[in-house]
Amino acid sequence: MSFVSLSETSLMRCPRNDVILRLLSGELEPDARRELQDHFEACSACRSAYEDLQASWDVLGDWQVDASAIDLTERVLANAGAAERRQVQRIRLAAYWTVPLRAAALIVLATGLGIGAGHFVPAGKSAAIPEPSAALEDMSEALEWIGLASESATGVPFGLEPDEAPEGGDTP
Amino acid sequence: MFFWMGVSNVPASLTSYDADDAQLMTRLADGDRSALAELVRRHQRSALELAYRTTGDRTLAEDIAQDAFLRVWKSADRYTPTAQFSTWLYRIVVNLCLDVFKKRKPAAGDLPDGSDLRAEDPTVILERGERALAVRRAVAALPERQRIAVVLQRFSGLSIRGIAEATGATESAVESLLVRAHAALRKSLASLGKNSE
Repeated sequence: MSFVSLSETSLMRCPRNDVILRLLSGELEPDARRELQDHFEACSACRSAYEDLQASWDVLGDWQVDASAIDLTERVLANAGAAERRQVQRIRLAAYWTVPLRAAALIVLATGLGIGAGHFVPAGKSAAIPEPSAALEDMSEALEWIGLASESATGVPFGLEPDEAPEGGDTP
Repeated sequence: MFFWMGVSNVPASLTSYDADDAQLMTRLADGDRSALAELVRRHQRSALELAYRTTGDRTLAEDIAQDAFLRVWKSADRYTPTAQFSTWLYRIVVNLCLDVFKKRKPAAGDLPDGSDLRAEDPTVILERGERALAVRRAVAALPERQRIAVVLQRFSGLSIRGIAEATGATESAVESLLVRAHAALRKSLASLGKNSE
């Protein structure tokens, strides 16, 4: 334990209670101890504070606890061993799953990129409709480009097969 | 990066007992499990008694002390012997006690009455006498941090600087905690003073 020197205790004035506590716990240098004792001789208030603190300090000493009958050595070593085994298992497990997990992640990534790029169409969904390019000059060309042209290249309106084409101009 | 660079780093200010602890930590960092056993044997009593006096619960004290030594083992390769090993161990024990308080949040003084500690089983923490129980109750009634400071000072024998190191508080904060704790104890233990014996 390092001792507290005289200068730190400011003995020119009445000592604070923490200085008296340092005296009780044996932290003061011999000179500081002597000077404090001299102060107590002359200052009844400080002497009374010191005696109060010393009384409770002494009473605290009655709380004797003895744990010497308990030996934790085996338990600590067993727990350390178990923790080490768990760590080794975790490392092995991580190594075991690393290759398949990386492969699965790669497949998911590739599929996601494929869908995003329009190469794959998830089941039950239609392909994304691309935006018409600015190069398309008119609406009919744009509709034809996306498959919604009012007339196909064969002259048949959208939605009718060529053999269902109405006779031209002979409607009643 | 290993901060622990071997016995040559042991400060000259440490006693030979502390230097032995530092050497044991070096061996432990090198994987020598027998060094852990030796550290447990050397320090389990003080760790147990600190945890018990702080929590008031024998089973909890054993769990905390065990956990503290496991943490010592796990962090052996990062240990730097700048202070006594025991102070470092106390800090681990104190932090574990504070964790327990945070989880269970008992009211002040709401600690087990210690009746199990007076059993005749020789493998438990022994604590006898009415005065001991009265003191125990008075200490248990203190706020947690005041209680820890008093236990470290009065029973673990730490200086105010040592308590500051073990709790992570400043020395002035520790002084303040101790002054308030002893003021409260003076009142609650007045009936047990020397005159009442």
